Amino acid sequence: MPTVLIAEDDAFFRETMQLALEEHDMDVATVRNGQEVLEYLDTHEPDLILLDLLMPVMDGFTVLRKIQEQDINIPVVILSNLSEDVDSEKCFALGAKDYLVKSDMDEADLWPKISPYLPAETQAQ
Amino acid sequence: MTDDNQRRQVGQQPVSFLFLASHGLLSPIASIRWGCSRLLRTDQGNLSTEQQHLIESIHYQSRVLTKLLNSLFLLTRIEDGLFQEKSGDVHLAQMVRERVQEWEQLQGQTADNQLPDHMTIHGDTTLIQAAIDNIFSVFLQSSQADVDLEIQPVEIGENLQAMSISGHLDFPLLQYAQTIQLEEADRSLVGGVQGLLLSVANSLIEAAGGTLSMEEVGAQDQYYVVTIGFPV
Repeated sequence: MPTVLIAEDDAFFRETMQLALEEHDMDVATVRNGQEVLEYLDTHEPDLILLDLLMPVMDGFTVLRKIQEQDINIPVVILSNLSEDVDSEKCFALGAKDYLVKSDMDEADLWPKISPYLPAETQAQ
Repeated sequence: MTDDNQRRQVGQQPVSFLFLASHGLLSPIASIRWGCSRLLRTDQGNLSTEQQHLIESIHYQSRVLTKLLNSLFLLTRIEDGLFQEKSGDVHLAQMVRERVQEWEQLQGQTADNQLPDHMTIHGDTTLIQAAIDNIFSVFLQSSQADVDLEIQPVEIGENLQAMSISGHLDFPLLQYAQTIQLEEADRSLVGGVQGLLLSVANSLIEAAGGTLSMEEVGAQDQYYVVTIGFPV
């Protein structure tokens, strides 16, 4: 079963995303800040990381930079409230696969947007 | 610390507060929207008509609030100097059409809109789009309205190009009638989210070097014109 790591500091949002992905038979792990993402990646290898940008302790930009520096090859999709081009361009330059704005989408939009970045056998579900 | 430095720091505090507050509110409100969207899905169980209407209303209001907060957030980033100005073409007609389609979808009604196929204004695209989004949030907020919108380029002098959005809307709320009687858009007579949206729209347009004015053309019919001018 593919694993998705959700990095999000808002508890309700984290839970909503988790429920939405578990409906598609995803194994979901959750963390609350960027530091916890890096700690998780020390011992796990998820198939996809859903990453918020503005988080306490360590922000998403720093996480992207660290992932790039450590040459970790896991697709990262940004899910943020920052909606300006300057932010998405920065994330793409740091290796993000896609950039989603929370307030521009509904819960039902999440799966179609992230499933292309999951292993091929998962996408048909 | 010098007096100037103290003044600068104190002057920056409201911006910092707005930055934190607008971002702090965005996630919970987006959560409400996502939660409502989840409840409205048919596979989550049946809702009574009243329940469905209530949740649809909350869902819609959360979208309006999100637009406001996004604009506030953008504004604080401009004030903080974090925003990079980016110039480009804005496809106004397309944007208006998208907003009207959004309204039609939400209301299950068809708007009688007459829009040109293509019109562009050169300027700071993000600012202009945010401002127009704000204005249309105000329009869309009057959800019982009969929408008939027209958008036209207007030349004001040699150095100013403007867009004019003329509309026929039946505003159900008195506060709108008060607003559109003003020659200059003034949020002081409008309460709640709508007033703030107007205020933010005004600030964004001013930040882009433009001006926002609203005038009433008809009396009871609430036919009016919104003009946004941008330096060429």
